[in-house]
Amino acid sequence: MDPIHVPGPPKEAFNKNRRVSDLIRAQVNHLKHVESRLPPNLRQGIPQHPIVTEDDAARYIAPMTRLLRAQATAAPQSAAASSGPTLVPSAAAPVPAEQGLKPAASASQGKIAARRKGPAKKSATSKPSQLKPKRKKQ
Amino acid sequence: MLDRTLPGINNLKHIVVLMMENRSFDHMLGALHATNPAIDGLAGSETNPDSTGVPVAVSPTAEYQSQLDPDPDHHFPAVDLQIFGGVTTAQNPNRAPNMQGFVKSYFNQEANLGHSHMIMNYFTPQMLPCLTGLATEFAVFNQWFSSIPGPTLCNRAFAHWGTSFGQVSMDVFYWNKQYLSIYERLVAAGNTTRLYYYDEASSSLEVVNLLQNQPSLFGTFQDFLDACKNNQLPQYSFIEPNYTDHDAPDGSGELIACDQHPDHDVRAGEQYIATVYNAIRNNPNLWPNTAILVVYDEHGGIFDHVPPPSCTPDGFVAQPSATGTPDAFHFDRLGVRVPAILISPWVQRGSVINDVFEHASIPGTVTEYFIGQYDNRSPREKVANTFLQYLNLPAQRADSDCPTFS
Repeated sequence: MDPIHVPGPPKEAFNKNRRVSDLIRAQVNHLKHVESRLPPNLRQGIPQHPIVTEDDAARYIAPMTRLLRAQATAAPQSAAASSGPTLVPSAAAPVPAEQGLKPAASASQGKIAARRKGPAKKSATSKPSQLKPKRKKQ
Repeated sequence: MLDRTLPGINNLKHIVVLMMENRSFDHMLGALHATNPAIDGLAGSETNPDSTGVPVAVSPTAEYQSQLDPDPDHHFPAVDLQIFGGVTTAQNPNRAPNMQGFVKSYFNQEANLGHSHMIMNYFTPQMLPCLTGLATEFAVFNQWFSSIPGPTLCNRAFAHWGTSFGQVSMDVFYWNKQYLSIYERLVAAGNTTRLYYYDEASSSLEVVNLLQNQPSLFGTFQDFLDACKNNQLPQYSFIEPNYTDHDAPDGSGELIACDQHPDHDVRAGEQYIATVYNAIRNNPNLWPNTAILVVYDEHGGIFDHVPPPSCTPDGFVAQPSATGTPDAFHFDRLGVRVPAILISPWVQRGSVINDVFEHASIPGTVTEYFIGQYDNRSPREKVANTFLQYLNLPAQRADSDCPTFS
């Protein structure tokens, strides 16, 4: 059976200035909620730019994700803790909420701002290698 | 009870679930009915009335991008209109779903009559070679429904927890409730599992529950690809797509959203699905012992012709203040139908599965296979159908009989 060709999107399909959807707005609001409960020293490194576009969202989500993931190495007592390629359990009991940041009844704190300002520091995400999802800048 | 003597089940070591975003079954796969009548797709005569009462027929003119902007409303009140055509319980306490409100719902967003008709558009198979190729080469589900007639996060909750704990919206806070997520269950039972988000800039949608409380459950999509390459795939993997267009952090290029959420280009999602498939398919150590489920979280407000059925109540109630309608919701009927495909060399080519599934079937299946008897689950998950029994061929399909994508 010959390989089936899967065409990719054209360059003009990419639009990092697209306004965020309700989905991304919810994701950011949830991260804002988590951020609001961080100790001040951890919040210092989190960019505070208004989030209107997908690019704005990505530049905020990346450092917040890095910070949350860092908890995995900072709190190895977690039942899920493992830095290896697969998760090997170290305890049978579920992690009590106290080991992480406590959730609340609402994410109403820290709503997305309505205007866009200048760019913030670039994130340091890894780049997955896909079929052809990434295009070199012209 | 799963027949573990089946060679496909006996060999199974890994389950991989890829959950995409916001497309209905008919929109993506409905055209396949023309070549395989067993697939419950579109006859071409299905209609919805527009805001002037004129019937609008389905049309094979869906485009990869730009037709569904603004994003069609798929919050609870809008989906109620889409499913019941605008008939309220006050008008008819015994109202039945008729799937006649999709055009009206889309019209409500911009009052643009012509644009509202686009919600009836669907793709031809030639436009989606990966998704339709997988659907025809492996097993397609005729009746996989989203778990709630509502938006993304509460629906995805069913894939992780077997319930949304009474939530029908995007604010889902349920850490440390009475049921454990499938990942916590697996870890507690000594199994391996991981959620793979695309990258840190896209991250996970499970922010306030799993990501902040159990960050070590997560990896990036590159971690998934590396795990496949190095034969270190966990027993259960859940994959999320890229949710935003953003720059690669090293400035080398652009990373386009591949979630297929309107108005992201559908082709990027096609390539993402193909990449996940190829990573398993091209590794002879994984392909014979891995089952892949490609499924969409909800319909995204886009037309589907199959009325969602009733289901076992979830034990929770969302009050009218939460549903945004005059009525409470008892989690006793499913959401709109979505595409779902089961992939394995032990699946009969061209299988069409007619049993009813929903996202609670995911933790239900994974729990049944890797853990076995497990009682502390939601009522919905306990009765949800599981799907591994379709790995039922007596012999593995030859490599030459299974597609690859380029």
